[in-house]
Amino acid sequence: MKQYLGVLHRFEEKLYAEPGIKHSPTIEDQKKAFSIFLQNHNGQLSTELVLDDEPIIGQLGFNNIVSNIVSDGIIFFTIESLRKPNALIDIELLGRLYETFDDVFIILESLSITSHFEFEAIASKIIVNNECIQRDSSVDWKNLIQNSAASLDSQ
Amino acid sequence: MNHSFQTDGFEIVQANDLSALTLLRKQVRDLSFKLLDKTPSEIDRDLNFLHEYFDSPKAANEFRLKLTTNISEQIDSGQLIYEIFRSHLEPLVGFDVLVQKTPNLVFQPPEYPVPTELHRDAPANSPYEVVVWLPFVDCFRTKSMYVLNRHYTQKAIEHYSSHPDDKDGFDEILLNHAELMEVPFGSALIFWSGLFHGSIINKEEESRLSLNIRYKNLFSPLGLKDSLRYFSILKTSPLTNLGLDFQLREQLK
Repeated sequence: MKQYLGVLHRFEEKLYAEPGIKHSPTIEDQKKAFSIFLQNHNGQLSTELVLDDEPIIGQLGFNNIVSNIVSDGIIFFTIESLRKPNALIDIELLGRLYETFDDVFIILESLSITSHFEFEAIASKIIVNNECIQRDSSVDWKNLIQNSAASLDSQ
Repeated sequence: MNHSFQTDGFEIVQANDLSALTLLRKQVRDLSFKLLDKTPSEIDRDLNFLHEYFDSPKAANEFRLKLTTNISEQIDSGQLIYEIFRSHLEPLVGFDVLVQKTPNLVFQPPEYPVPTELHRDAPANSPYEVVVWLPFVDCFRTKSMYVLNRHYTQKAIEHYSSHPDDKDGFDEILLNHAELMEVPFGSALIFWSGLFHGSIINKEEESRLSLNIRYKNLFSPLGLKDSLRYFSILKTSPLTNLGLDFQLREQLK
């Protein structure tokens, strides 16, 4: 049976950012999801970490735990755990995790990294996502969209 | 009446590859009958009268949920549907394409009391998404769905903004201008995520079984729905592949 490091995510107590979803998944919800996931993958948790809703690179001791632990893989509940203060997903950290562990799974986003091919595919998607987040939140982009829309309206 | 995607925000389009669509429909029928533990017969009859196997809306919905999972696990419907309607979708979303990870399956038996309420996908979805609504049976009148075209969707939004309590006025726009779509099997309705749409109780004698799935350009604005959770990359152009490879190396140095 494979041994995994499990990372749960304690979301801030606020309405979930995504419309249509009433609340963020609780730790209990996440444990249920882990249980189903582990059953499907014939594995068990060697260690369980609960991270607060802040970037894990800022969490004391996380790097130590990750580098000292012996495990077949790491399972995150959500990729939110890899988000940096600027809202971008930490691609470098994901790369380090992939190098440290054989397998990286992220349950909520249904992401599975068990090969270099899968890592590159997922990393590429995250890179584009990060680019879009940066662009979408920039003032220049908002101005460009407004001007383009006004120009279309007048045609 | 012909509609144009640019003007109306929707269009009914014919499959580029009808044989692939016919095969997809057969796969969906076969999965349905496997779930029901029944022997299939003539495909149109099997799907149009699927309701005969259910004695309650709850049972029909449980079937729908199981079938959604099975389709999602066993058929690459995102890729298939894109290929089947490629000539209509590519001009809209380009060559770098995201596809909704799990398509939504709708099963609307006659008199089923839970039609799809009036809504629009964007916001919260990105207004740069296109929805492909693909029936596996001929859809007409109340067996189908309705859309409010771009013009009347905007009118409805403006009416709601200026008269938020005037439900009758809003309903009047809807009743007078929503169009029930006539979509025969072999075609699909493609519509912009910003359009109001929904369905009413199916008063015909046949069931509707349909899929809906969303596509968008990889680089288009995200909307509030988490792209990493709901979309996967369907395809990328050779130029994008080079760019991504470059960025990946730069960021992992």
